[in-house]
Amino acid sequence: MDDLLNEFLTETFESIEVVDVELVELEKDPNNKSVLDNIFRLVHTIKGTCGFLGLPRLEAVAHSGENVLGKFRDGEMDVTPEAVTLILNALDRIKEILDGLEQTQEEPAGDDSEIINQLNAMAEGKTVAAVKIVEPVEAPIEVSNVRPSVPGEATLDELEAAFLAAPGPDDEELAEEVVSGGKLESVGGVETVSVLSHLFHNRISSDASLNELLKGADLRKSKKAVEEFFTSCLQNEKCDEGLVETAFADFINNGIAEDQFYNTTKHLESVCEEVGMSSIDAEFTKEIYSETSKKMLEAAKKNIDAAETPKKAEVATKSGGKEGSIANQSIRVAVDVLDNLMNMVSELVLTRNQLMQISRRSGENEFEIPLQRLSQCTTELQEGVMKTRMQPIGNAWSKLPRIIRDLQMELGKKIELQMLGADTELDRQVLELIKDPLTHMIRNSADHGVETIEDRIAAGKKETGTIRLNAFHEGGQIIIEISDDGAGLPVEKLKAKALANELATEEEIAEMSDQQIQRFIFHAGFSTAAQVTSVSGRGVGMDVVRTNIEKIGGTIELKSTEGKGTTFFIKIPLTLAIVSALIVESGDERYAIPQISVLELVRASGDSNHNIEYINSTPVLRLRDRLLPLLHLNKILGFEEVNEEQSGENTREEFIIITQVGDFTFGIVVDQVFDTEEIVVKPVAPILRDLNVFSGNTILGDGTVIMILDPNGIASEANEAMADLADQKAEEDETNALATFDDKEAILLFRAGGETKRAVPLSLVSRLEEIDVSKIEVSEGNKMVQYRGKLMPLVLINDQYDIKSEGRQPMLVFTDDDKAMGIIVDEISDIKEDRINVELDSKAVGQLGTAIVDGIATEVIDIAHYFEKTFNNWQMGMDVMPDVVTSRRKNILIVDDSTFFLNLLKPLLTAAGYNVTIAATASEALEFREQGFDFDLIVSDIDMPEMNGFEFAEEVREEGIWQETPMVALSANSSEKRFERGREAGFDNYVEKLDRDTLLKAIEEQISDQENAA
Amino acid sequence: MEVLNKNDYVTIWLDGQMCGIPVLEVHDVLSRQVITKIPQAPSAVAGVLNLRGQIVTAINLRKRLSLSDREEDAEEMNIVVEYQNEPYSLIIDKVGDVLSLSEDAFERNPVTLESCWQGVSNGIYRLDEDLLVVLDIEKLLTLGEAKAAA
Repeated sequence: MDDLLNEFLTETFESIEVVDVELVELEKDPNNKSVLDNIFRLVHTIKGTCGFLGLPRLEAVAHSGENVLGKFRDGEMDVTPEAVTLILNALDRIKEILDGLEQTQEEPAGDDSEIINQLNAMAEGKTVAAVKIVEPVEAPIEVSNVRPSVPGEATLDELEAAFLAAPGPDDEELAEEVVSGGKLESVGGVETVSVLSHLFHNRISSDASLNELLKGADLRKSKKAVEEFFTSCLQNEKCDEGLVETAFADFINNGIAEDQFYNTTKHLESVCEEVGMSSIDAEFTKEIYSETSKKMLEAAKKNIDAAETPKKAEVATKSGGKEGSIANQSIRVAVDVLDNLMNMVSELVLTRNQLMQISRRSGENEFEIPLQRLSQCTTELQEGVMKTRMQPIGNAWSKLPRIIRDLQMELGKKIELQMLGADTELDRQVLELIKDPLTHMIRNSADHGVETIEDRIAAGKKETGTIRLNAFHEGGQIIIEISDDGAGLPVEKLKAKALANELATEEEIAEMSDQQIQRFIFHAGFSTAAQVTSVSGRGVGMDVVRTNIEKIGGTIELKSTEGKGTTFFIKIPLTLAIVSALIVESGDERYAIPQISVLELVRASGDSNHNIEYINSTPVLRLRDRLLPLLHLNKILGFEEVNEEQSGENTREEFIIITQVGDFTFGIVVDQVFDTEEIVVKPVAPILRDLNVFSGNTILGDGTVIMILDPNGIASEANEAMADLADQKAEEDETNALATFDDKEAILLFRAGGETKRAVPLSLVSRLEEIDVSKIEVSEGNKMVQYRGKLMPLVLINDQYDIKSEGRQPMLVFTDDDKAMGIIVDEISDIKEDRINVELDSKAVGQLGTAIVDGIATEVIDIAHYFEKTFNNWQMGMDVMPDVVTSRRKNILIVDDSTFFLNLLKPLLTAAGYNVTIAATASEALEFREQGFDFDLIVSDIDMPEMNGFEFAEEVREEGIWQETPMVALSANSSEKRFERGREAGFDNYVEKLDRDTLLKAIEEQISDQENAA
Repeated sequence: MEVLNKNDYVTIWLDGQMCGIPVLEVHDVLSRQVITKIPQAPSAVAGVLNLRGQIVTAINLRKRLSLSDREEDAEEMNIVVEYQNEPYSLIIDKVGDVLSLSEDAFERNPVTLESCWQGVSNGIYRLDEDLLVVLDIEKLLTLGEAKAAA
């Protein structure tokens, strides 16, 4: 019983899904007879099977639904949206019951009388009055001569056609009211019956499984007999048992078996339909025929008793109600059996590859031929197994028409759903995974994308919005486009939302392209729907969609024009299991790149057309009038290798793999390219999951394990600017960058006294020199050296440090205007790009603290200290800055949240002759204002917590004593847009952080402007 | 039997130190294998190797325990263990015996033991001639977050 029930459930679920789709289809095209028939057949089957299995609730609901459908079919009722909704509701109820059935193996208790009554009322022609449903856009339909034709309603012509087709005396006739004059009249008289009989015989003789029944029979006689039988039965409204044996004499003589009988019933049914009998009458006719079955079978049995017993036994078992022929052509297989098979085949492919390689290596041998054969079989097997897993993408779409239809009702919009390429096939594993994201996106398009009718008319569009789904193969991938002609993504709203959600700062947003901003919808918690509707808007959508798609190695892109519509492009691999990959070499190791991400291969060498060129050591490639950025795989993977070609000699041959990630095309330079191989992608061990340049690993034919490169990861790894294409890591970094002064900068590493690593930002260093210690002179206890025609003071890192007594020593030169000082060191070790995050504050003189640079604890020296120490001494001794000393020292306020930066700026400005006051936050600075401190100039950082530089400037300009004070903005990022923004906020100038000269010049300018103005 | 097994250890040698791995955790003992290096991986990850068609991640235990690197041509062996259904191969100097040890000889880690050893060891067994450090597979295969992020 369990198996039976399970089969019933799977089958019924499938049928219902089909009915869902077809009903919506029918609503659009009420005259589509074949659709209607199909629906009717499915619902009827459901009803029949329910009765058979003893499921009264299901049967009752299905029966009422069938009644209404019957009316449609007979043209007695128009296919109206209300009626369709009602039937859909009934189907939902059936689904509910089925769900319960699936869980408990029993029909759940419940009351369906309401829906059954509604359906019956509908069937009886009481139409919509009793049925309260959400009204669609159109008013309820009344039959009148003048009315617009809308979907879901038949035109007058069509109705007329339907009436003509209906054989009943007139269209008001209801099946229940058929008068006792006999059914014969209602089916259309003797004539109809004779046509029926004729067709019935034709069908039987053309059906291969049945034509035996009529072997050796006199067709005309048989026809006549059957005709008489039905006529008499219809007249009397009951089966005329006496006539059975004469009417079906031929059938009986040839020995009708039970399944044959079933098939003949089917023919009779379809014939009834064709001659235009109303469903009730047809049903009746069928019943009569069924009732005769017993007699016929009995008689037949008598005739053929002995000879054909085995055959009968065989076929009789199949009489459950399915067409034997079709059922035999397909079998249901559990999915995990297939999955298992697929895995085994994958392994087989690998082993085959391995064998082939061994054979190839050992030259000609006796294995060659059988191996060839094995190889071919394996390939075919692989294809075959893949095929079993392939399903048309339409399967994932089957629910969509229903969803769109319901949404139309709910949202009061008119939406047309176009589905193209539904038969595009893809792996069922992939299919399962994209089902939900697709559904979600369609809902989104309907809810957010397509506007309401009023809005659409106002925007000059047609009332009906279109959502188009298009699937097709391209380059070994499936591409699914989901486009709507709706409102598009509102960039301004997205900006505001991104700000509110703190996904980016105002400045960052200002620099983003519209497309980048639109990509924000893929972030968690991001919904543009102003209100949460029952459909969507809870903000747990597109990020999940993206994650799901990326999980299966796909990508999602979008293109949206405000007012015109939005299109999403989803690219997904055909299958997850086996991919074709290009094997490349870099740094003596081999790697695999999935073939799908390879656009083309370019060989670059000195003598070929293609040459790697350098823009300030950034490699690029000219390819057909485009300049492609290049990435050296060696560098990305961290192999420290001297790039010979960078020194100008392009003798070495190089291979460039042109790859595309999203809209971004770039080249990956590798040392060597081998052939392509079929590989089975295996995930890497969990401890390696953080490596985003690899998407997995695999075993090659020769047995070595190689890593599979992930172009997405490479792109984001190589450059954060590229990363906004898709990478989350980059997004995290962005947020980090907001909090602190955290940008990467060049850091000079050196050693001076002991093994301790010391560091100083390279931007502060003017030159690196080497001096001969014998040139060092001493004056008033200060060491100095003649440098570029001037005396330059020399500084030691601390008192314990001693300069060598002879030889040469490296020196860092720091300059400011005409002041210069040198710091003597033991060794200049390296220059690194890194962030300086001072983690331990230091009490030691001359140190800012300890930071981790390049993974090593490094002391960051305090140039401020040395400048102050040297130049205070220096000034006293030499008086080299008459201009600063004579005029009043200007007061400058620096606002910056980074202590490190303050520590750098303060000495710089102090040394330049200003009095410097510092504030770590904007509010601290504003406190100074309240206290009445006056400054000649304010230098402010932009990226600060709480109140950013722009807000600070606005605040300053609004009121108070600083309204006229010149302000200079300072930021790590000085693009045109931000510059503009700064001006608007009230800054007089905008300077890039760490650009000392410009900063000093700007300060000087502002102060002199101010003085001149005063 | 089970009680006995619990205290059975495969002894291994790392830079002159004897260590023990519970015998029930050991799936395979292999000689030197061809290992594919993984760029950007944490330094303790030596790479991946092919063990009868299965991809196994190799961990260099010397690196993991901050010991000096093994000499180029020195002996090297692999012990394959499984952790969270993933096979890992621990690269060590050499494999000794399987010892059944009694609870009496068990000691907790001395508090002065270096922290990187503390982190991976469950305790020490006093043997007649040597001390055996019991290594915990789970702890060995949990690489520090900082390292993993490299």
